[in-house]
Amino acid sequence: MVNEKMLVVLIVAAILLSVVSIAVTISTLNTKMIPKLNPITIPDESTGKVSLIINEPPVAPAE
Amino acid sequence: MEQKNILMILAVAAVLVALVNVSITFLKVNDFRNALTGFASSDTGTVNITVLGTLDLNFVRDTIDWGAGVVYTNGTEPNATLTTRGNGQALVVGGNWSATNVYGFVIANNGSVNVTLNLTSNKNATDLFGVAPSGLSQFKWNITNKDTGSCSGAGGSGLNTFYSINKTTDIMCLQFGSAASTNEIFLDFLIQVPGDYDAAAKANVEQEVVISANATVAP
Repeated sequence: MVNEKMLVVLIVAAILLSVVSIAVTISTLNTKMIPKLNPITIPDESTGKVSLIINEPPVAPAE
Repeated sequence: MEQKNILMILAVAAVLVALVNVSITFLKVNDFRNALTGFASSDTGTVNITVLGTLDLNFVRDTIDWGAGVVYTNGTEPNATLTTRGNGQALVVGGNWSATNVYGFVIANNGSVNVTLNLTSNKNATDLFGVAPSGLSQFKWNITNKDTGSCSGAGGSGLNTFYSINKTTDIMCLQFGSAASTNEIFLDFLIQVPGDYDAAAKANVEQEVVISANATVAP
């Protein structure tokens, strides 16, 4: 048979522990924030263009 | 009040507190991900941050357009050689392409860290001129420093020398500087048009080569 007084003690302890947990959570996160790092895009790429046209030499007129 | 009622009230209270606990934890973790703050609960505190480098490779001069020309065919080995020379006017030998306003590429590392520069061409000499029986076709590139000390530790290619272009990626600079006075290089080209190029496929057609420069953080 479960002792009802013991149950009361356990539940009160659970409540107190939860309250302490909340306090610790808030305190820790507010004082030890770590910045979120922005993603960087690597590698970087760029392009250039080289162009030319080869014309056929003019054909000499027939004599 | 009966003992059972007290137990019930306490149990419900315990569950509610636990729910609040979970909710606050969840919300705070989300805030934690999105906020950047140095909030401290005391007068003194320490914030550790890491400033990431940025990569920004840029073709300051990105076009070399030779226009149209012909190969002079009166030589013993007729071919035309077109060469860019950095900021100097380009050179044409054996053909009538215009060298006016034709200069080499200028590539700048505008990022904040030294990078390794890789170059890739989408065409080689055969793609440009077809198969030339004389074997006189050439398509080469050459890196030179515009700012002294910009490029060091050239991988498979040394500086100031023309190398044949394949369609593979070549490491051109292991260390391409980012400092303002040492972050620009010239990329010059030597194009040798053979007199016996594949005229049926290549004559009177604009040949365009795309040069891709790729930068990764230098080791």
